[in-house]
Amino acid sequence: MYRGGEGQTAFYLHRFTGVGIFIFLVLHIIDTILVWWGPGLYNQVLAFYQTPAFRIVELVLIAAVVFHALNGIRIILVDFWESGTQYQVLLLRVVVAAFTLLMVPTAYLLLLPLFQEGGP
Amino acid sequence: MTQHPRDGSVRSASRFELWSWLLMRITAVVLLILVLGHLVVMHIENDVSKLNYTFVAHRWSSPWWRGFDFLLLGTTLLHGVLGVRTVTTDYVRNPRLRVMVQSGLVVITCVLLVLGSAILLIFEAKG
Repeated sequence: MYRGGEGQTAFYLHRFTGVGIFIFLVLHIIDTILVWWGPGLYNQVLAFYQTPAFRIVELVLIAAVVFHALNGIRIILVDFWESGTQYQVLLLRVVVAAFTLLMVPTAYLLLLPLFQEGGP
Repeated sequence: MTQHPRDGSVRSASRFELWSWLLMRITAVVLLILVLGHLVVMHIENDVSKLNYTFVAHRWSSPWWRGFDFLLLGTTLLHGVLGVRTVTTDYVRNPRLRVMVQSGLVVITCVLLVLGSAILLIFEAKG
């Protein structure tokens, strides 16, 4: 059993978020292509994206992208910076900190309309 | 066919893995800018609730936004297909199944690229 610690978790999370984002990407490109058939169909599909339930999915998606991007920067640093490997755990801690800093206000902004009277 | 001598070196007639590795990182850096821009426009400057046909038609009245979206489309698909290819190479061990999965992956990517580019080129607002 490989005991890679935090770095191993980051490795799996990076792959998991990557595949997840790719699946979303496929669906998203398809839904955008639907504009070809005019406003009716397209707006109908978008209405699904705008439901309160989907806001949660939206938040999860943004979280996945943010983590994947931040950890991706870490990977590039490890690959191209001489001291990258030496500092990889520290870099991961920076990734987690940056993720939290970005996602807490984002979650607040995204979820707030769900609790307001007017709704989203 | 890739050779793995016992001294840990690697020899391959194909430079596919090398380019895959490199392009992953190059597309990643490009995407940092493109995806950030896309998310800022869609989720911060605007809001998902504002997105509809009119919004898209308005955006695509500018060739610059069409161009941006085209770059976004191509770069995300390239980065994604390379990534999923790497992951499937690691986890789909049966050779025949792996070839089928990766072929399907390439086909889906090409179809999305062609259809997506087509719509960016020929879309004209109606209604």
